[in-house]
Amino acid sequence: MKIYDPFRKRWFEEEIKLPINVRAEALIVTFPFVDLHTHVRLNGGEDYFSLSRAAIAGGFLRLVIQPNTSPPLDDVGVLQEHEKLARGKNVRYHWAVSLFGNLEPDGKKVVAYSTDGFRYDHVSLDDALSRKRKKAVIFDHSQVHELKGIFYRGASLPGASRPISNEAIAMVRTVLTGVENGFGRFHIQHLSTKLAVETLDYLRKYAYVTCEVTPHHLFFSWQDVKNADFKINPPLGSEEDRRALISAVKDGTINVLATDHAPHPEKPPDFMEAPFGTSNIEVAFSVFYTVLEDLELVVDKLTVEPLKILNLQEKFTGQDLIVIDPEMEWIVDAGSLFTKGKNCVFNGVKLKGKVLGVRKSGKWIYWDGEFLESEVPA
Amino acid sequence: MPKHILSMNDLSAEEVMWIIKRALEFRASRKFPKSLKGKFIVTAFFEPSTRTKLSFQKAILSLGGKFLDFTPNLSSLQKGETELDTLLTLEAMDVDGFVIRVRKNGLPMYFAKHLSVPVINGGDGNNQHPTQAILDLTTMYEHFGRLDLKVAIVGDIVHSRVARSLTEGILKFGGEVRMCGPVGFVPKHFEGVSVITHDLGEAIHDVDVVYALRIQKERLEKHFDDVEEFFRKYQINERTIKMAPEHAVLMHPGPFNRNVEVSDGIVYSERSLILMQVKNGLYSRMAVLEKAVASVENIRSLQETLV
Repeated sequence: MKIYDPFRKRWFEEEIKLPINVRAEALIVTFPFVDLHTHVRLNGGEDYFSLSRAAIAGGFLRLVIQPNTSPPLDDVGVLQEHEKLARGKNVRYHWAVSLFGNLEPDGKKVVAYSTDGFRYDHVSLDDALSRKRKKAVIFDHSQVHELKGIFYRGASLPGASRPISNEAIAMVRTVLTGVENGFGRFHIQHLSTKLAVETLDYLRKYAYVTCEVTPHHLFFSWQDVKNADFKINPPLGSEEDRRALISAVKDGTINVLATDHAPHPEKPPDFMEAPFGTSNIEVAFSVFYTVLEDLELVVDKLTVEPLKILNLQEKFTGQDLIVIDPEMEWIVDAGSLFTKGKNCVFNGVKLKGKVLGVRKSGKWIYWDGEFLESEVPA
Repeated sequence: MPKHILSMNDLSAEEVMWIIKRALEFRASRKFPKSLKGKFIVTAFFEPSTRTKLSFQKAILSLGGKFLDFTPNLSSLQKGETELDTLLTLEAMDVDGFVIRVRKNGLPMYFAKHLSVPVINGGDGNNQHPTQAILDLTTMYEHFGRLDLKVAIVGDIVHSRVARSLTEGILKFGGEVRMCGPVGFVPKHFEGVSVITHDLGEAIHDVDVVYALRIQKERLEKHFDDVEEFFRKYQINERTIKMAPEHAVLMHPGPFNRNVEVSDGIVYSERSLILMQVKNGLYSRMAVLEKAVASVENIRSLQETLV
């Protein structure tokens, strides 16, 4: 079979025995994906069991959970509860802890601070930055929270009053205030605007700044908003923003592809009432590949690049691998996804490329919609 | 078998460490053993060089040896065979070793196969420059006391023989190498190198050594519509060095272009080991010559010599 090793940036051929007899010529084997940006819910929503299954079906075997859980990941009891729930899963979990709480990253289990899901202003940000350990990386959800609006100004949509400059200004604020407080490592989450992409170049003079973009910000613009599932934070940008994000991935300005998988089992249809977020981890690879049409680029930015940000050394040994059918065309049916979050904006969308199988520690755990190894629900 | 020193991979970690410690011994003492006494060494530089050649010649004299300087007429020597004929003729005059610099990759290795006396590679094309790597490692060892360091090499890497040799050297001691430069100036893949990037912050944020390479302005102008962009993104100056940890030091193989790859202010700052590198060049080359050319019985410990 054709194998792509993203660590050595090299293609090679090797015999791999698949769990069932299929024509293997068109299939591609590579390293399992890593997601720097996943949300889990504990109170009856997406739990560690359903999230693990959704992640595996999407080709992901390593996730970084964001801290805006309920209760939030800002003290040791909550973290221990998460660890307990995540134990024994085929997916390897890491956590980003609240920049505003009482937990510190250890570089292994807890990999970063995060501002994601917390309302903060310049005062609370500066205060947190002055108290925290300077060596860790800060995952920044760049938003000026004083400014209201669920969609960007310019979209003809309910609540479209958020200034488009808000993201760029927020990231400048976090990075420069962070540098002033002695921090040197920042990771900007889910870029959504051209202005933010342009701002990166400026910030990179002052610190090591990496960033990510999501499937939905690469696939949709605000013209595509159909229902409350499209209420996402940050909001979808204009077509010009979307194009700028795509070229920034291609030219390397954007380091990483991440999901911002934010599942909600039942999202109210009203824009004002609905919570933010879309669930997408099972379709993420297919969306990235459909938009970017470059398999090596997509795989690199879902494996090597996020691992670099986590400071983890890995290599391709063939023990953990995924099988991709790059030619398969399929239509997303949100109802049949393994995630409990049916709020998938890609419902009904035709995509190209699909993760077919996952092997972990030499054992096949998933093939084409079936889990081959039973895991105990949490 | 003569002990050629052609590339870093010809030397084991133990051999390199011997050379480094010997070089630091030389630097600490004022008197040197006459371990090259009676030896004639040819310095043949088929590519213009001043500093490396003079440094080798002084090193030979310091150890009691003699050099024969061969300054080829560059235009009449285009092909490898012609150059080899010249070297074979010199060898027939009973010389004891060669220090060679050439423009073409791999030529010193080709010469070494045909010569029965040691060949030291003084730099070939964009392939290898082992004595520069050794003097750099000596300087790092002197400063840090160890060599399992994180080193970021910044600038024009694809055209640099220094980068290749230094990388092999650092990896030999269990260190880590990052490569950083503009598009077209860094390789897509380099065996053993974990990070190859166009982002200076990514390359230097957690390293021990920031190693800036010499940039040829002509090359820059070919690649950038706006050469300023290079300075903005890749010049090591008072602002950009702040992205590296406080303990990190700056190195450069020289000669540097003032205010191109490094700013004036930083070259002579306390974070810079550039002057140390220049100093260690002579002593490292002495140690390399001893390793390659001197007979074992002539290599005495300095203690013994001084008694």
